[in-house]
Amino acid sequence: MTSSVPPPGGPLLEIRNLTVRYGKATACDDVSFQVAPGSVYALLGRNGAGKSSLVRCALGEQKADSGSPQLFGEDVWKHRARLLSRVGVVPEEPDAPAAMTARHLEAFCRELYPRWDSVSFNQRLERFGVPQQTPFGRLSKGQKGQVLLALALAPSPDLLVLDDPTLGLDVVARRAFWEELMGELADRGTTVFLTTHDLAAIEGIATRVGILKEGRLVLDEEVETLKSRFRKIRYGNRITETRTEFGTELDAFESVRVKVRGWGIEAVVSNWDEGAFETFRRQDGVEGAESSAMSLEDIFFAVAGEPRGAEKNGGTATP
Amino acid sequence: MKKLLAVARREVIEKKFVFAAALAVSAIVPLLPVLRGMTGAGARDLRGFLAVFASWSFVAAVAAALGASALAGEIARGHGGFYFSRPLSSVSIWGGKLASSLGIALAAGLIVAAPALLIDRRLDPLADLAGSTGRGLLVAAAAAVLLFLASHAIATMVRSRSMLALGDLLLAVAVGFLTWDALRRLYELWPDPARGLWRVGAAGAVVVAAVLVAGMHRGVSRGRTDPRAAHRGLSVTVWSGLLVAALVLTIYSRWVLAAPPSSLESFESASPLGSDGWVSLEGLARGTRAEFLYDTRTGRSRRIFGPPAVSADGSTAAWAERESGRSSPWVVRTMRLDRHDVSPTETRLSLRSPWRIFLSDDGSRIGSIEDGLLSISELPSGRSLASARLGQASTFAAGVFAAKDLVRVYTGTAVHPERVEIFELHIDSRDLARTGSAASPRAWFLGSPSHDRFVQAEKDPGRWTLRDGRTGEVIATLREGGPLFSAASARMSDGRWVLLLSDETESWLEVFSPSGERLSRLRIGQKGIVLPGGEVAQGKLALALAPGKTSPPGDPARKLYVADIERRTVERRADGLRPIWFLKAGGIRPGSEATKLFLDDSKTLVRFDTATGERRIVLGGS
Repeated sequence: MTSSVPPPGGPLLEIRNLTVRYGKATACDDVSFQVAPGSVYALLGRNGAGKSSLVRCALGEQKADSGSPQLFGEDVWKHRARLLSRVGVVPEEPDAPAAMTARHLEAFCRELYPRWDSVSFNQRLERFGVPQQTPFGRLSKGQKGQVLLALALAPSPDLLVLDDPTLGLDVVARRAFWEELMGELADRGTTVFLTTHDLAAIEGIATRVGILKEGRLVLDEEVETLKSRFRKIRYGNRITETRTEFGTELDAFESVRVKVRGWGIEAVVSNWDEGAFETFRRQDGVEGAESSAMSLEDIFFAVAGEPRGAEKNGGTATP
Repeated sequence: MKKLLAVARREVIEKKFVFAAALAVSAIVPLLPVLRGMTGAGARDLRGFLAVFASWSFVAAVAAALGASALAGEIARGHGGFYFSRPLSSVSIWGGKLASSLGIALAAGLIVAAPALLIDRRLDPLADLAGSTGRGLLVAAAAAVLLFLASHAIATMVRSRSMLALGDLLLAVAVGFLTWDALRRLYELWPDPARGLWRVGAAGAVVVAAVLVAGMHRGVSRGRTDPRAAHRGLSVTVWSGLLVAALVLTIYSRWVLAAPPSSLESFESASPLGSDGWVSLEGLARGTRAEFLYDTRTGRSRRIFGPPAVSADGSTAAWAERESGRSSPWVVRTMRLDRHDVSPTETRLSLRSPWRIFLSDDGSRIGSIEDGLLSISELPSGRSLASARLGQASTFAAGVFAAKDLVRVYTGTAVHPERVEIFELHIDSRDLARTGSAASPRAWFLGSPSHDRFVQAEKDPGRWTLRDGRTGEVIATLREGGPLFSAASARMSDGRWVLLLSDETESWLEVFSPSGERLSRLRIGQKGIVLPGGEVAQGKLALALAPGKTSPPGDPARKLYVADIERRTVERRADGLRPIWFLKAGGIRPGSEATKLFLDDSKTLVRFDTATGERRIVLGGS
């Protein structure tokens, strides 16, 4: 068995023109992105956006209709068993056999990986307070997630793949999960590829995000860049002698979403610029304009919150 | 391998409750006879039955359940990712689960059977079924493996909830039909149908198992966590494999059925059909029983699937063969032997048995006897001319057309097995009358062409009589005395009868007039089996003498003689030849083509002219 070595500086995971179809429905449509070493890539999307199909393809569990997911520079469909020895996976559904205890699961998985850290596995379960002799099927959903995270981290993976790992967990369990992950990142700097709906939790973790909307990757960007170019603008709008109609005051911005409120207009723009905003607020008829930074959740909502059919040319939603 | 074993070990640990259940069941097997107060053979029989029944039921249930749930169930529930998201190859995942599930099922069966095996050292029901306990266990294990694989495949197909399942169903029907169609004829033609079926079943099981294993592997490696892709991979492999196997079987079946006479491995019988060179040949061809009508002059042939009857003039042959499967009736077909076309004509007559048909001298009428009912029909139209009930169902029956409008039947019944009853049916008036009876023959009887009299070997050893064909009364006793080493009879074209006899010291033939007066005795040679042949020329009878009953085919010690009845000489003409089977043939012209046919060993039909010594291989040989 040869160990795969990614090209220096090359992505650990590369998705290239990936398309997945189920009959006539397209789950992933020509999706391409890369997960760089040391990064935490969060793939976001609404339910049914195609995230889980993409993860299964990325792990070589499912064959794509076209496109070739590459793990560590190699075709994961062809070399899945070898490549996955360097990958830790936490699935969306806790899928370990119900009759097996955490101890049994550890004993089983320990034989499969070239590296295995039993000490850290046990320590994690102790920290989580997961009983090691209880069958997996009888654990709470939070405990199941914690066992699976412990199993994923025990082989000291180069890449950690988390498919909506906190789905269905309560607030406490979710926090415990993310804290454990952050500890791992702080300790080892493991590269992470994750999908989640828990946007608030990953806001401080993710370094890059991708947003899948109805199978298409509509956004793929560093989190900091993303947050710097997205702003929410609120302003009052009135008729003056020189301004007799609405709709042109935001022309300097790329508006992702525009809403008409009782008090005025609220817009999300994706090319925020301080100078342009100063010009905007001085326009005749624009009153009390103010801007605010957006959370990842706000940006996601703005980008993926409306069905694609509601978009206007140029990505601007109609008020 | 290490990872495969890890998967297998994990499965065994997870399913260890099966062993506990097996242990509980195994305790019942030895306990039940004790609770019923049984000892000795009775207790052993009950233990054996319980052990076989319980262990096989247990194995079957576990194999079916694990087959249906292993992997296919996990993937369908979305739990396949646990394995496929780890560094495990498809072979390790699937192989580990397959091996462990089978191991669990078989081990559980052994646990259930173990007490009875330990106490009695054998399982009688298994030994009775399969020949030995070990073989029985092997067959049971193979059946469990097949059950496991089949249930796994079916579960994969059903759980995918795909329209592909409809295609599976259609293909299963197609494969089933092709297999049934190929086997239905072969089954009846195998020399030992039960053994043939067993062999084909075993080969089929191996093919099915191999195809299922390949299909399941492809399904797992191509489908992984996608149940529909797994189903697709499985179906493509399984059905292409099974279709190819079914087509191969179909081609094989067609090849076997298309065997020409030259493919006969041996001649179990060769009988003349009239005087002009047509013979019926029977033997093994391409592993099956085969029967042909064969024209030794031209090489024309027709394979038939039922014993033939031939008209006395040699113009027409008739036989019955089944249209399709075992339950279908036997349809009577006829063929003109005096025409160039060898295509059979299908009549409207159908029978439940192919054996008891007979033709009129000119081949225009056919008689059949079934379940005590005598029926006469016209050929080739099949129009019924007459029928009559003979009374009790016959144990054997033979019919002849004594005249064109008169049928005579010799029939035995289970009530009076020592007698042969003789009936005559007048076709025009449809009157049936019992005309006489005779003691049942020991072996056979030989009638005259006009059927007015016949020679028969009586049950009293060594006694031969000439009887009246209509009444069965003894006209003359041809021979009386102690048992003989060999005895046969022949009839010359001029009506004289010949007995070919051998005792422990010598062989000879005795010639009688048409009314049974002894005319002469001619010594043939030392003791041996004497076989009559045809009348190679007027008054000259071919015969073969084999030195012993174990004389193999082609034995050079077998000598061919020609007995000249007029000149009272017996001359040796060749070594290693024997005549074809003339015992049932009548009306063969002296010196005709039929009288020149001999077998020089069981594989070669030879034309041999006893007058000139000219010898030519007609069929077989090299």
